[in-house]
Amino acid sequence: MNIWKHGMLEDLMLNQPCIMSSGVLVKDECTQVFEEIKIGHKYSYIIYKIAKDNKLIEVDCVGKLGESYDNFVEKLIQAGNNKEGRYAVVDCLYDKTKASKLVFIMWLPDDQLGIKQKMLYTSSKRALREKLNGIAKELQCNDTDDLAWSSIVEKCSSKYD
Amino acid sequence: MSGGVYGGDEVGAIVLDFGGYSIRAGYAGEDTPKAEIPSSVGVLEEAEAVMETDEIKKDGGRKYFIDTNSLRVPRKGMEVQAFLKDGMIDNWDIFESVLDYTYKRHIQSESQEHPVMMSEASWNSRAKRERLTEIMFEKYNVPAFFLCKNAVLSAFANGRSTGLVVDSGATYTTAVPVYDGYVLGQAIVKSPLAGDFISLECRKLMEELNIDVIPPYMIASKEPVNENQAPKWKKKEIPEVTSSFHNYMVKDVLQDFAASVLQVSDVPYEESGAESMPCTPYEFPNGFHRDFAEDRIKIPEMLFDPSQIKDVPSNSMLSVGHVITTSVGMCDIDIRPSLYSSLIVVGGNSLLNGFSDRLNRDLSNKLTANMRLKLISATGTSERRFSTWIGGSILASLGSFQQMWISKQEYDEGGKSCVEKKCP
Repeated sequence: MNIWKHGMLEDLMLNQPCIMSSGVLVKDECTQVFEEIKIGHKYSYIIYKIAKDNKLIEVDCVGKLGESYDNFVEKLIQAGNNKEGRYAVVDCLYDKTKASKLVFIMWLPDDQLGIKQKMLYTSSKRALREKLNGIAKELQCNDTDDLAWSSIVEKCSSKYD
Repeated sequence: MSGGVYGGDEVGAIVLDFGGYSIRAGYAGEDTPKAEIPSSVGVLEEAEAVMETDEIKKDGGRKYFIDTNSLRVPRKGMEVQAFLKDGMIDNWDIFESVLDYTYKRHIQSESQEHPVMMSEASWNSRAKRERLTEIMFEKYNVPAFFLCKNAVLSAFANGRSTGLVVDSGATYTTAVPVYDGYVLGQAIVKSPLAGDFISLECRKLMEELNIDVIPPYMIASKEPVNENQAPKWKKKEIPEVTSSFHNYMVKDVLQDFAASVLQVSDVPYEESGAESMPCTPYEFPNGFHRDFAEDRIKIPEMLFDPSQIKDVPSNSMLSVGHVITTSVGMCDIDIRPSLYSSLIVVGGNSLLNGFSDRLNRDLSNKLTANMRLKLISATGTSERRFSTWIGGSILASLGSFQQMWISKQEYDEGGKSCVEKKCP
């Protein structure tokens, strides 16, 4: 028996709280690549960016299996030097005895970015985040200390969100 | 620009940000607001025929004098009144007059041609939001409208979707937790220890020191005098003004005094240490000048240690540090570390010399060692005062944002309650 009445889903959608958001859309490739890291563990990380026209979130690059965490940080710092923010997902093997966790990072270095990049990335984050099912932890990183491997491990080992 | 078109990147939207001290207005996409208009207006109950360009006439003989130039002219019987109360619009009549004035003088365009984005206090009530939406669509006929919580705009403009926004403005110092873009309304904490309080304490100080603060409107001429000498100045021929006008003008002088003289001590204040502080000279509008030493420190100290406030029971006020710890304490334990590691300090009163350093010190003493503390404050004066406006300006100028506006059509179909759905 179908318990769904016409319009119920729309009602549900409308009553979901939504936040102030930029309306930037997410390219399909973002979720495809995410599924590959989630199910197949095909990459060590994914870096996302907002395309130049400020309308779409796309994949910037992916990390080969076994690529070091320092390499990943280097790429983010480079983006910061170019005055751009980034989102990233890292397959994080924080403890060899446990399974890895997927960590979502929003990278907006305080000292390097103008308000426009910060506003654009913060107000578009939810659009991307909603499409990525299976993220264990989420971090907002605004300086290189936040990106340190120890911070990531600490976050992953914490029982809190 | 043609009416009602708001596709593409150039939407020509107008951004309005309301504060206890001033209203910031300008076009989306620009770096700073076009105009900053005082949140207080002059009200004259029974109007005579005065030839002014900036006045707005109302039925029933009431007249409003809006914006700095017109507000600061001494007029017989003109009262100075604010239209915001508790950060929310209280006097809608004045609000509409200010809006009319802004369109006429600063925007210089018709309201039906520009979408409007407005900021609001994070605790704004549903009734007031709906009323505002109704006025914007029905009276001003705007093609699209959006309402943003100012704390969320400040957090986003500082690159955080989670953080505690500490706003020390004119009327209040507030702590508003923002988690993943949501305001946690039940954990908002407010304290009246803010800019207006500082002005009041400066006024008390001047009374104690027997300094008569003469605002510029009373002064016709002055002669230079030596330090601490009685000022030599001549009074201007002016009509009899109301006390609210005089107080407003005195407060203006004291605000300048506070900005140029006051200094927040980096450690809790002790009589002995303060005497060694360097003096700062200040010249009042009437030519009187003298050095200020320990009083520079004593007044702002009250923000951080309310026990220093005279004639107020010390436990009835929350210090700035206490506002923050109380607010975070009301939030879920899971998110407390993310709030402390993103304390976003905004508001004009936080520009007092040494404010952030002292706050940082007070908080690190209160928190456990493993709690990471980070204060974020824009370095530029205009960025800190206008962070909310700039945030709104950027958001409203994004081409992708056009689908987020409440359009005129949506309003016509859904009524004023659509603001709750589109602008949570």
